[in-house]
Amino acid sequence: MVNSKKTIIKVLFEFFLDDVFNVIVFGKSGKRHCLDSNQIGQYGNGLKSGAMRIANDFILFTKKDNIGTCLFLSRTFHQEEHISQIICPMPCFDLSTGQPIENQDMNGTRTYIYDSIKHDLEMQIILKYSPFKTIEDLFKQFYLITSTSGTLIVLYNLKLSDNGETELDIKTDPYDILIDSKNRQNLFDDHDDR
Amino acid sequence: MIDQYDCLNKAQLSFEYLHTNSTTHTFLFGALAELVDNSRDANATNLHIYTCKDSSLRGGFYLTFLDDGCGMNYGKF
Repeated sequence: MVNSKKTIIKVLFEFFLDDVFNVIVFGKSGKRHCLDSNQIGQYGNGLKSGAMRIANDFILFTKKDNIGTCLFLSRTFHQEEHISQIICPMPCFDLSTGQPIENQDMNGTRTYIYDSIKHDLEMQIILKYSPFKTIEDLFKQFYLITSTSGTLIVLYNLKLSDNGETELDIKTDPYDILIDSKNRQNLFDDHDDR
Repeated sequence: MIDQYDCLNKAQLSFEYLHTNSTTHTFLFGALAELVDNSRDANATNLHIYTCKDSSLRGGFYLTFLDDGCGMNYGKF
């Protein structure tokens, strides 16, 4: 991670991937507008606020209609490369062929334009800063979604509490994930982003 | 966006906002609950929450949420 002095150019923000795209739009939610909705989410903020509270970085894999979309949001990436705007790589794959999705016109509303330079740059960032260092490793995550559709979120570089341990305790009970509630005051402290 | 306003300044999110926004959750449990809620709203019937060891990461492991909900793509609307 230390060897990177170059800043990756901010060309990644021009995509229109409707569903997944809206995930990174802060405050965008269709759920609030249907009155009979019994959904919990209202404000389109849960994933960003929740994931960024738990860890510094996350990568999301989602599968629908045999298309796999990745969403990568990493504070480590921004910090290492001194980027002040939020950049969010979002490559799309045809899961039966393993190839990137080609240009597609979705009912004339929005067009997803495949750009090999953009795709390669996105993959370069993801393979460098995510826990998955090869494209095979990355695809293994999509294949963990064995249902016809679903979502996998990987949260990493977890927050630590003051004693240097992770807030989540996975050692005490091998079959459970525990939160140390005695330390809950400390859990709010954040030393990474000063 | 109406074309006539294109020339005006627009607010944008800075990197620091990612942290600012996460302080909505003082207690970790609420943050975890957000992700569980998302799976429920996606009509998932199964949600697996598990960890994997990876010594190259801070904390030595990563945390995973895997659901069989509706998933997302870019052509929903």
